[in-house]
This record gives sequence, structure tokens and C-alpha cells, in this order.
Amino acid sequence: MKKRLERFLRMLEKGIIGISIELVYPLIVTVSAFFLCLIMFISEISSR
Amino acid sequence: MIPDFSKDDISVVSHYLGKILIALGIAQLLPLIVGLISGEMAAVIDFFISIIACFSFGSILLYFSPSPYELNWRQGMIIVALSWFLAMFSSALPLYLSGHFEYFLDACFESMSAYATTGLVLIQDLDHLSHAHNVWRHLMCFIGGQGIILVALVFFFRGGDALRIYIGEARDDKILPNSITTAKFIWMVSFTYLIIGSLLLCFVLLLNGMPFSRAFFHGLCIFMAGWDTAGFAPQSLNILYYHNPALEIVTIIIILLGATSFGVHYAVWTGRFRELKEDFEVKILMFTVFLTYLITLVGFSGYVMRFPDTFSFFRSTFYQVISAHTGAGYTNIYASQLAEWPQLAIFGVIVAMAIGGCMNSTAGGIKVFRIGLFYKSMKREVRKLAYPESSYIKEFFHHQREISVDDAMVKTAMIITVCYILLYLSGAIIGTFFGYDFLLSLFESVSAAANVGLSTGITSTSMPAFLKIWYIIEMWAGRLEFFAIFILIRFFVKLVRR
Repeated sequence: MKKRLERFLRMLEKGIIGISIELVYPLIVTVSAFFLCLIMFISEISSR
Repeated sequence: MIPDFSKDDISVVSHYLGKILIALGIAQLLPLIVGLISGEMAAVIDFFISIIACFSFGSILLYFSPSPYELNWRQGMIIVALSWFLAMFSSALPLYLSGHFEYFLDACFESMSAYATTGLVLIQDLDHLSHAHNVWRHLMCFIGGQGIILVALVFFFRGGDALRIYIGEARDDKILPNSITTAKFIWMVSFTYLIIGSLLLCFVLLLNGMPFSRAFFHGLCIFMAGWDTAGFAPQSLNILYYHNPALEIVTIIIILLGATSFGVHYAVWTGRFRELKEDFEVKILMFTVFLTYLITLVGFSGYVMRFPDTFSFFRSTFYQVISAHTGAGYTNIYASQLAEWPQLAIFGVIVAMAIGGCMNSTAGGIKVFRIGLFYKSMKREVRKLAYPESSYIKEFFHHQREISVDDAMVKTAMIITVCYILLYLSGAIIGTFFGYDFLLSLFESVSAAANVGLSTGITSTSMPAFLKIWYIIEMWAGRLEFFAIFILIRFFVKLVRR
């Protein structure tokens, strides 16, 4: 019983870290895309 | 001699379809309860009628086709292909009874769109739809995204039968050794994110000044449709209704996670965090997201000054591209605005829609895995030409483990890719035949077949009935990835010939 609880807590710990990492990765994609957009916007303004 | 289709197959198929019909009747209890809590008696009656119909027809099917022997592969495929149509008809009934649809065909279109996680809508006056019906629309997205079969798999099927049906639903990644435990894991991930995502959306809407009960309802609905990349929303203006950048960011997180393979979720959840960085499919997804976004941005050159600042330009463009790529179909601009985009920008979104998300996720489309496989096999062929004839060239990719590219894998991927392209083109040609612009017809067709749901305005109650039927077929075929449908067609042909 104790072993099972320990195993469950270990999995939960990993799961929480996993979920946190998964929640961050779309934000990295969004921020990177924003910089791409910013470059496009600046180049468009500077070409005028 | 390999036995061919026979009339005995009908009994086996009917038995399982009866079970699925009863499962769909049970699922309708949730909107019925919501209707009771909200005091929407008309909606309660609609669902009561529909549940009685599901239970009656399901029981009749079970009565006339008693428990069969073990399923074989072709029967599993036929059950999968037919169950989606059965689900469409049975689930359209309460929608049609709501009075928000002009024709029963429109209600069928809506339910297939939900089950196939497409998101194209034909509902009228959505803003005044009852809570019960709205919950049902979004619940259908959730059930469809998880897989109708996955719903039944956990509760009704056991052993070898489960695997045969599971594979038929275009989910060939076995995350865990047993298909039942795989189905349970998929449900566990989805329910965990259901709690996190709904609360996050509810919190953002509360900050936006929405009352708690409404914020919770909208949060739950948006999550169910977002996670399963369906793109339904409780309001007719979709995400545009909220005018909230924070909500848009939260939905981007949800739809990107929804379009990520459950295999990757499993790896990350069990401590293999590097899988997110190393998985071949995730890498290709990131590459194609940026590539299609770049095409869209280049398409806007000369038009950028229409936007007041970088942020509004980014919100308008990136949201449509990421929504298209993940197959979500959420939008924060009007359909008419999208139709007025420069042609190259529209093309960028079409390419994003056509590619779609990861295999074994809730996203539709060709899938980034097949695009990556195509690239790897091309690389292998080029290397073969560059090295001496006697050399043995192997190409590997990392997808939960190191996998070698083999010809059978490439052949299957290419067949499905060609089928998708033909399906995309068929809808575009039919749309053009009915007088719509070719590029916009292609956009709408790809949106239907890749189960995206973005629209340039073609999808409406006034569009020709044939086009509605064709889009239903496109959504169905696109969701099941063809093989189950080919086997169903063969089954009917054999039955007619006998």
C-alpha cells in the first residue's frame, strides 16, 4: 500500500512538471511567431 | 480461400451499432440535466425524445442481432465508418427540434461538423440557443475528438474487438500495450486538461467582467471545442465575441496541445520531458507552423499598413494560421474579412489547414507525420543516388523511439496523402461549379476535409444542398482517413452483387 502510494506520488510529481512544460511550449511558439511578425512589420515600414 | 463479405456481417455490425446508439443516448443525459438545472423545459423535451429514440433503435438492433462471435478487421472498419453516420443522424435530432435549423440536413451538417471536430456551422441565431443544446454541441465535439469509438471502447468492448475498432478510427498509435488502457490514458489526459483549461478560461473571462456562472459555462464550452480542435463557440462571433487577447493566448495553448500527439503527452507526463524537443512530429509541426505563417506574412506585404500596430497585425494573422494548422477553426476576425485577405495569405492558411496537426491527436488534415515521412523518404532516395549502388541506405526518425523509414510505411502515407489532396480538390471543383471563386472554394473544401472549420462565408444555410452533402462526406472521410470508408463501399458493393 505504501509502495503504491509512493509510486503514485512520484508519477503525480512527474505529471505536474510535464503539464507545466506542455503549457509553456505553446507560449514559446507564440512569442517566436510574434518576433517573426515584428520583423515583417518593421521591414514593411522601413521599405516605405 | 479468404472469406469475403457475407450477410452474416450485417448481424455483427448491427449488434455493435446498437451498443454505440445506446452509448450516444447515455451521452445525451448530460445536456438533459443541464436543461433541467437551467429550467429549459423545451430543451429537456427535445433531449428526452432523442434519448428515447436512441434507446429504442439501439435495443431493436441488439434484439435482432444477439451477441456475435469475435469481430474481424473488416467488420471493425465497417462499424467505425457507419457509427459516425449513425451518430450524425441520432445527434441531429435534438438540434433540429430546437428550431434553430431550417432543414434537418442543416442539423445533420452541424452534428457531423461537431463529431468530425470541424467547426463549420449552419445554426441560426446561435446567440439565443438554450444552454442544454449548446452543451450538446460542444459535448459532441469532445466525444468526436476523443473518438466515438473511444467512448464505447472504455465501456462496452473488450479484448481483440476493441483493437479492431480502435485502429479503424484512424488512431494507429498504440501508446500503451493494450488499446483499452490507451483509450483510458487518452481520456485521463483530456479530463486533466479539461479541468485546467476550463478553469483558466473561466478565470480570464471573470477578469473580463463576465459573471461566474456564464464565465464557467463559456470556459467549459470553449475548452471542449478547443481541445478537440473543433472550433465551436457558444457565440455566433466565435472568439471575436470576447475581444480579449488573453483568452486568445489561452485558446492557442489549448489548441496546440490538442494538436499534439497523445504519444508525446504520455512521454512528457511520464518524465521523458526531452520528447517534446526531440520528437520528429513536434519538430515538423513547429517548422510547418512557421513556414505557413511566413507565407501568410509575405502575402500581406504591401497591406501591412492597414493594421494600426504590430500587435493587431499579429493577432489577426497568427491566430488564423495557428487555428488552421491545428485544425481548431477558432477565429477572431469576421469571415468576410478573411475572404478579403490577399491571395497569397489565403494560400498560406490553406496550406496550414491541409497539413493539419499530429497523428493520434484530435487534429485533422494530412498530418505532419506524413509530411515528415515524405521528406525523410526523399532524403533517403537522394542519398541512394549519391552513394554507390551496393550501399544500403537507411533513414531514421525519432517518434517516441528510433524508427527506420521503410517502403510500406511511406506507401501507406502517400496513399492517404493523395486521397486527401483529391478530396480537397473535389470540394473546390464542386464549389466552383456552383459559382463560387476557386480559391475560396478550395479554402472551404480544405477546411471541411481537414476538419478545420474556418470559413470565408461559403458555408451558410443558403448554400446548395448538394454542397452541404458533399462537405458532410468530406468531413466524414477526412476524419476517418479513408480506409474504413473504402472497406464500407466494398461491403455495400459485395452485398448488392449477391
